[in-house]
Amino acid sequence: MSAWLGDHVSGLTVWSPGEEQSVIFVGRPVDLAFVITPACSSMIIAVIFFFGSALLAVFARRFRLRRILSAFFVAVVLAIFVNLVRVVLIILASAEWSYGIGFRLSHEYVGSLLTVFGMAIALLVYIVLLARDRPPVSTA
Amino acid sequence: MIGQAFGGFGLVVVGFGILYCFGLIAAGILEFRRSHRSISDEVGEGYAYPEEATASTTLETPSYEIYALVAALDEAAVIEGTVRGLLAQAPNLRVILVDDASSDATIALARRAGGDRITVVARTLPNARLGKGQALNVGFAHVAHDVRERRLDPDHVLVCVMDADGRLSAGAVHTVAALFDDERVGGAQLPVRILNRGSLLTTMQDFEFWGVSALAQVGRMRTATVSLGGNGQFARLSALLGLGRPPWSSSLTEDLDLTISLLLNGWRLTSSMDASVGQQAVGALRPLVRQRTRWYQGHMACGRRLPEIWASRQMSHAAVLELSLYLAIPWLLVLPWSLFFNLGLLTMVSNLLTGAGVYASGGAARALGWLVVSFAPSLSLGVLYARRNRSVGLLRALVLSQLLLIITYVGYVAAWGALRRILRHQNQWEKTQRLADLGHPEPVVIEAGRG
Repeated sequence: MSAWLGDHVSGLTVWSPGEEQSVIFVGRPVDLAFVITPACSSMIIAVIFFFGSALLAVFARRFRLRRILSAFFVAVVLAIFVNLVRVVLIILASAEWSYGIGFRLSHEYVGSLLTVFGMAIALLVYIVLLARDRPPVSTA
Repeated sequence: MIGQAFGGFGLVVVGFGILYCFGLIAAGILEFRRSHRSISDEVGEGYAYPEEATASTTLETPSYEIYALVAALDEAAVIEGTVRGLLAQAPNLRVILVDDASSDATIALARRAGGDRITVVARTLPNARLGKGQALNVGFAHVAHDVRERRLDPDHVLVCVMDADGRLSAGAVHTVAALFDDERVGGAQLPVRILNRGSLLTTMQDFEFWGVSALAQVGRMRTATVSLGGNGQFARLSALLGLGRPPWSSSLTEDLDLTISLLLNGWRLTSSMDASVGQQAVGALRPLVRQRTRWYQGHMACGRRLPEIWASRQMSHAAVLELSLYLAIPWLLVLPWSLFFNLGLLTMVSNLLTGAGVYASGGAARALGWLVVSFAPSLSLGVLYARRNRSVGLLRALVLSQLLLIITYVGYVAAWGALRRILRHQNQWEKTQRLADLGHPEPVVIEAGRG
């Protein structure tokens, strides 16, 4: 991500030390450093969708396994994408408006809202994909 | 790890809330737009507020025979207007009044208003006052018998359930009858308006019913899983007969139970954008909490039907998912969110006072920021309500949207109260009293799960 940001955002020097990818530095010499913790990642969302999908696969025979897996995949990819947007936004805002304003606004408020809406959209896509599975065979 | 799991669950709860509540409202608005209607109550040929509709007479005959079932107990204050209002809707509408051993002049007044177009089924104690579902079933038996006698086609007979103080908007029966021209439609629920919008509490209930729930119900038309209510509920007679048992169960929310049964039988349930039903709101906080606790208890108990729903081959996937999310609302949204919200609020206030945690610096600004973020979404509901209700200005609607917190807290208290009652196997309930009835000293006991 740091390489992508460095390549695509002009005037911003973003890099990570080779052995430690979970730290992102801004500036040379370093102005800001971001430590990406597991809480910053989309892991928890992926785990939630994983357990939900596992329950559906085991108990909900009305859906095909292939459809459950594809819904899981798309929802998680979407959640990861929204989270990446959030992290990039936090880095850019912090670099632009300083830690006090930029980081707080983007991390606490905008970032939280993005996470919540990202979750809602991922859920919506997941449900829509399931709803469009082959219809059940009517016994009527 | 526990903190992350807690946060993850919180994320699911908030995501579910946004997706389901705001998603359905958005779907409802899209449905209005798709059919080139405004969400405002000012438009529509022949549409009128329910309270304005009683004098209206639309004497065209709909292509369906209509039976209006009214269960009444000491309703002398309102029954005449209700019967006259119903009969004015269509010449082929008959009223079946099931009197549940009233001690006032309900029967005489209803007969006077209904003439030869009303049938009064008088129940006497100890076989009366056994719950609304029981009373409706007795009326339903009379409808079924009358239809057989008259050799009518049950596919072309509609049964309408009305509260004793219910008021249909002008032309509502014709509007609803047209919905049943789709032979897959088994039931329809009219959106509810609150008639006594004189106090803050009753206005808040109109905001809730008309400004929020009615739009969400229209959104549910997409999946044809509109939830039936106890007032302004229409069903095709053949759909009710197809259940093979009396339609209304002894469940505390017999209307939701009927909704699920009809969906399981493959019927579509819909709503209307051109008609509504009016009813009285509860005028005081304590009875409101009691009413909502009963609703939550019934709603939560209906969760036991989820295995039937998921095993259904008659319902579409979309219908199964939508109905499951609806049944999950108390469990997955109201109960956990009440904890998250209040714990978060307490932590914030505590940290703000002690200057701890992230509130060590700029605490007041941070707290203000979170309050803005938390309350801003409901402002959008205020804008919607101002458009839905022509008598409320934008500023007032925005203020009301923030006061929705009162109703939200009523929901929290009610949901936890319902859970407590479920865990204690308490199923007895007192009937919600009408405003005109508040002077009556004797409570009427409704007992779920018994004959």
